[in-house]
Amino acid sequence: MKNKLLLLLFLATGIVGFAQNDNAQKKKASEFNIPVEYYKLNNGLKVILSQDKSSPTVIVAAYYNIGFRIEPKDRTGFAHLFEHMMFQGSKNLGKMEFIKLVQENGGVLNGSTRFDFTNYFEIVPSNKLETMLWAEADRMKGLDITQDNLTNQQGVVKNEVKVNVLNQPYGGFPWLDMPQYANTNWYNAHNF
Amino acid sequence: MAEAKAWIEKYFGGIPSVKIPAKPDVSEPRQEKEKEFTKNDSLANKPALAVAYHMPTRNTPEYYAMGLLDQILIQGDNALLQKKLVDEKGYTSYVSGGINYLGNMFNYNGPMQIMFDVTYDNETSKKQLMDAVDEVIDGLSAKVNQEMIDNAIIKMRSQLYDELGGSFGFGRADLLCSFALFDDNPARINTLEDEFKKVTPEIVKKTISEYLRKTNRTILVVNPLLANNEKTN
Repeated sequence: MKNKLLLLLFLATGIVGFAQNDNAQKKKASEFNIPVEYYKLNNGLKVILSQDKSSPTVIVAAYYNIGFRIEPKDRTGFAHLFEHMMFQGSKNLGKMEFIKLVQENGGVLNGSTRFDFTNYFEIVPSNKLETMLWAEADRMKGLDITQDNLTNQQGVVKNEVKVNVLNQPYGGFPWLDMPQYANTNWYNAHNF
Repeated sequence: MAEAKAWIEKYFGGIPSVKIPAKPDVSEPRQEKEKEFTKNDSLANKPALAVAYHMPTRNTPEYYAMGLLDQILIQGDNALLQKKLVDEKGYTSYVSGGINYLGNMFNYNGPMQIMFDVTYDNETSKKQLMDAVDEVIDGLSAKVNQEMIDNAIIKMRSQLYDELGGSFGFGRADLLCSFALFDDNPARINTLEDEFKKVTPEIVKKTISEYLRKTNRTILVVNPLLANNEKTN
């Protein structure tokens, strides 16, 4: 539990809709201008709002300040494992219910683990914004970390590597291989 | 927007803060010698090769110059490595590559490589490929001029717009979040283009000289253990 909390709270939540606003359209076609409103909650959570009215959809993105190369040495693999655990339910939303909540509202969702962050996002009809903010905050507050869920997802992560990397020609080449050869600092060069 | 802010405060505002652990030192020393490795692949039937050069530090003039060099060398049909290895030599059908294979040149925060990779026939040698690569890189500095940079900026803008609109617009959220997380400044999204426009031929040449030197690169070759397996050819 302690480790999970360390992963949280330092994120950027972005809410993005679509479309240029009127002001932007009046500017030169060559000028690149995305509306950005940026502030922080009292707890330090970074919030970005970027309005776009071209379609009645909204994107909620939550970025956590933990990627697979900045994990503590004795905790490698946690960021990716937690990426999976974030879809396994909380006290309020049972297993698979987060995914159903998005999909049954016509939305799409995903998450990923990168070098320097893990991210989660949902794209839903804009009238579901409040629902998604509630659900994203709900899993940020606490996950249903049971032995069953953990064992299950440890198996899933292991098999992801077997299916996508180890049992594929050119599996891991060069995206997973090269950092291990090109870098010398353990954080960049260890086998993720 | 006011409604969205109120909901954010309502649902996220009560989540307690925790102390953020110190970020580990992920810095890399300057590479002084070319490195080369071979990876045996028991499932591959054709060799493959990847070449990676350490990137300049993020957000420096050289970093933006390397973003343009990515366009000049790797991205699109008119990129110099595509023209040399695909069109002229016929060694491969496509040169894959870029900066950050798990994202793009904007959504990482630490050391990175600019890399490209190809698969090629067993009849072609690694030396032939690397000779062709070196021909392109070694001759590059002499060709750099403002027109080359202007063309690269057009390609860069096009790719940036593609990324921002990608995945139903999620690319935009990705850059905003990345810049908030790494730089505490998501508005950087609107200044990227200006940074590329500041790149001069001199900066590009300096970048080629320091970062596209042989001693700054790692070559990885896939040794295809199924190369002689009749069933796979």
